[in-house]
Amino acid sequence: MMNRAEMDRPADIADLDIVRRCLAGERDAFAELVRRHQRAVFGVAARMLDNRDEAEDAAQEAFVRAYSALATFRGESDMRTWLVRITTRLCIDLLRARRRRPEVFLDDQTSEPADGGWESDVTERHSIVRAIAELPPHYKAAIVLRHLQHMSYSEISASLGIPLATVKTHLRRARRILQSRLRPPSAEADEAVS
Amino acid sequence: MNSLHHWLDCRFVRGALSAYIDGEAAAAGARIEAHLTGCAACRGLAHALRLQARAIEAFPAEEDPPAGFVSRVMDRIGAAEAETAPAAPAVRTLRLAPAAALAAVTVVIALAFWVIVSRGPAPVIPPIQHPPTVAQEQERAPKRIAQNTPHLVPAPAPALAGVGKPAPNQPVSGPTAPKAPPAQEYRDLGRSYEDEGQLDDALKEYAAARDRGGSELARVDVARVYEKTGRTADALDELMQVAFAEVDDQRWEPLSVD
Repeated sequence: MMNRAEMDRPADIADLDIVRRCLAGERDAFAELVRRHQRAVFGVAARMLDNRDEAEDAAQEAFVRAYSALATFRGESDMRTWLVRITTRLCIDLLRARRRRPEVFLDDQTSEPADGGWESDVTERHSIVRAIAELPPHYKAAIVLRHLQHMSYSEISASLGIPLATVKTHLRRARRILQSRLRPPSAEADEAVS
Repeated sequence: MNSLHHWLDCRFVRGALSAYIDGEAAAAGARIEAHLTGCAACRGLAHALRLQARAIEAFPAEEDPPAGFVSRVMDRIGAAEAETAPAAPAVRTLRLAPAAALAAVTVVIALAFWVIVSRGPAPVIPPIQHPPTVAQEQERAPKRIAQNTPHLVPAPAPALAGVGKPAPNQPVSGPTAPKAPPAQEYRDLGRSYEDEGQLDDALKEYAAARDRGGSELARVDVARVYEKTGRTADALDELMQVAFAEVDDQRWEPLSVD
């Protein structure tokens, strides 16, 4: 998993080399970039859209857009961060577009986390997936970028193109909604209160 | 801490808790930690938010796409290039046919001319009623303290000391005007008055802090003095404004928000 220090660093030399080759007209070099970052891009799309088919389509489209905009990549940020930003914004647009359509959830298709602990509880996982899926697009994006991409608030702000204070508000409201939709925290929380 | 203060502190902490557990509330960290030590309910909420974060982070951040993903992306890029040849990712350039460029320039010039002509003569700006200058404020505060509590402050109030006194004819607005004392200084001055039982003066200073964009705490100060002077309705009014500001920020917002 990428930590924040890794995200803050400038683009990887290998990524920059691929960009240079692409801009020089070597289109097939881009396939290497896709190979390097496909898991991250697809992971974000899958979390945002909760549907593997739509996630694949969005991930493909994100790479196509990245390819078209490659000349604007200045290498000041990590390539992965840049791709995640493109993917997240694309997914927000898609979520807005399909808002009135019935949702198809991904919970039965996601890979299982390690056994043990309450995270492995199927009901709990189902609830979390459903609760996150029902968040408004920007709230969901903030949660995904914060908890799965481990972005700082300023990175989320840059990725979503919203002010830092709005990031705080989105996360606070998203968590409030999640808290109200998930079952009350059990023994551990009770212990903390008592 | 009385129940009103505790309630207000809870509201503050609950508003900041989300950023706090993310390590993004450094400025309020000490206050939040102090509150959590003594408030089981907020401590429980913090714990629940941490559990929630842990549950979300249990999902994989990365995931393998279906087999053949890379080739499908490249096919799509190929198709897009075929549609919009010449090939991306060329640096974007603006290419206009000479006739189109000439037409665009003509339209811009015509628009600019229309804007200039349609403006008419420059409007007359009415004189601005300036608020009291910093110097006036500076003189006012120590004088009042000296009059009301001569045993206390013979010198200028420390909170306002150090602010340059403008020349008599110096303008008070515009980019070169000296900055007004920050709201916190009015709060400090109000606290001095309040500690000495000069509640009317304290109220004026707290109100000045509130009106100068001070935090919600300035409003709470005003409410407290109202409460002390028996103006319960006014105190409630101030507190309601604090409460509604917070509620508005945290209210339940279903799917319509994005």
